[in-house]
Amino acid sequence: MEDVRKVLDPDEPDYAAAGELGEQALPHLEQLVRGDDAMLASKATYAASLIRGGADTVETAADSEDPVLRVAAAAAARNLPAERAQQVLRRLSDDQDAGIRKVARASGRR
Amino acid sequence: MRWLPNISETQMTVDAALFSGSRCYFFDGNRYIRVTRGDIGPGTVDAGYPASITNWNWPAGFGTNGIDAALYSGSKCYFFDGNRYIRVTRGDIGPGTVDAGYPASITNWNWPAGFGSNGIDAALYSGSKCYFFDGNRYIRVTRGDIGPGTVDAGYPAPITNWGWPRGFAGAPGPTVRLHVKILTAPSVGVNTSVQRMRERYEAVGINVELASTENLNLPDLNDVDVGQCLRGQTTDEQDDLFANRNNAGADDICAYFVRSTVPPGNGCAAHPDNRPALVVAQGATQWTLAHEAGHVLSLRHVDDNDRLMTRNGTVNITNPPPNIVGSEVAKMLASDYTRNL
Repeated sequence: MEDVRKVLDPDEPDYAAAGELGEQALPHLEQLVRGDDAMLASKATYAASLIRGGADTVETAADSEDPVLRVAAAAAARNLPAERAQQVLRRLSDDQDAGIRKVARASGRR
Repeated sequence: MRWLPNISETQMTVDAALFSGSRCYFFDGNRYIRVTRGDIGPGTVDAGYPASITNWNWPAGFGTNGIDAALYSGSKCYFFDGNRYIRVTRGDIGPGTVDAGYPASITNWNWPAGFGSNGIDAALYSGSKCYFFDGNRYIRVTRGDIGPGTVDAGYPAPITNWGWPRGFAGAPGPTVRLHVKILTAPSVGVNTSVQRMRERYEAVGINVELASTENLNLPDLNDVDVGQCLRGQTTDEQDDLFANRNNAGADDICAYFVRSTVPPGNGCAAHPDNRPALVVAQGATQWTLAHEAGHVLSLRHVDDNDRLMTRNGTVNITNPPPNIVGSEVAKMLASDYTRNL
């Protein structure tokens, strides 16, 4: 968790470094996505998308009641394998929140 | 307090002061005091003061509610009230006699560039020169006892030339002008964010002026794409967002509070060269605004959690309030966006 927080805590995270955390970071990222800190959770969502096997954590965020997490999931989808990205974007493209729909559309174009 | 012990310092104001040889006069509204003093120190208030300004017997309603400025000028004294003034022949003590033809229009002084057209704030006798103050400008005049004299070249000039301590007489010193644009208010609150920035910057001698606050309804930019958030590189969405610069001058910093950045972050200070701007996300810390503004003012990250520009996250600042060190202050002062206003 210490290594994960070192990457995510900066005001401007270096997501290239996040991608190098490796699969061992995924349980920590999942924990953060399910936690109370929406900023940290959104950063963890995006970081998970850069790690192989992180799609489940992105889906967790996509199901969140917090729109900030759903935006992060919509953004993170662009980093997922095509099939998993489609699963996330299919839901978020119909989100009631216009900002989430916008980010989902942008991710779908990439 | 030393002169009038029954009046608190917060109530004491002075509209004008007049040197008069062995005496000095101080004017506050429709009252004045006469003080026996030497060159230095407060002296002693003469018996019978404060007294009514009507004792000066000025004509035509001049100064009945107070004056703006008084000028010692050898055998003459000048008093200023709005756009009028009087010239008085007097000695050290007493009201003297108002010269014929007064009150007269302040335009008789022939000051340039609209200076003092509605009145002045203060006047200072300084031997062969006189100084007149109007707002944040002043002029220096070469003159004798009588007449307007000649305004020296290069005047009006900014009052900041006097180098007074920051905050005195409206001399702000180095100042960052900030315009807040709110798409989504931060969880810590805009006021808190601005206050933290102000506290940190003012601690190192840089004023933060909150010049304007505006709410923006831009749902498509509320989760703004910041790309890699690299200095000098902006996305189309950042460019669109930063085009909203109502009320902001070219060197004013616009701070856009949004719901989130894409990818997620507390904020991002990347901006186009000609549009100083930054973004702060809803979940940012109380220090993020000051941190991002630091980047706009050319500061880089440091590996020190006691400092505002820590690379490890303002959430980890270990000894609040975070420090700004001397070399950083020098960079901030050198920035185009820190100005003497």
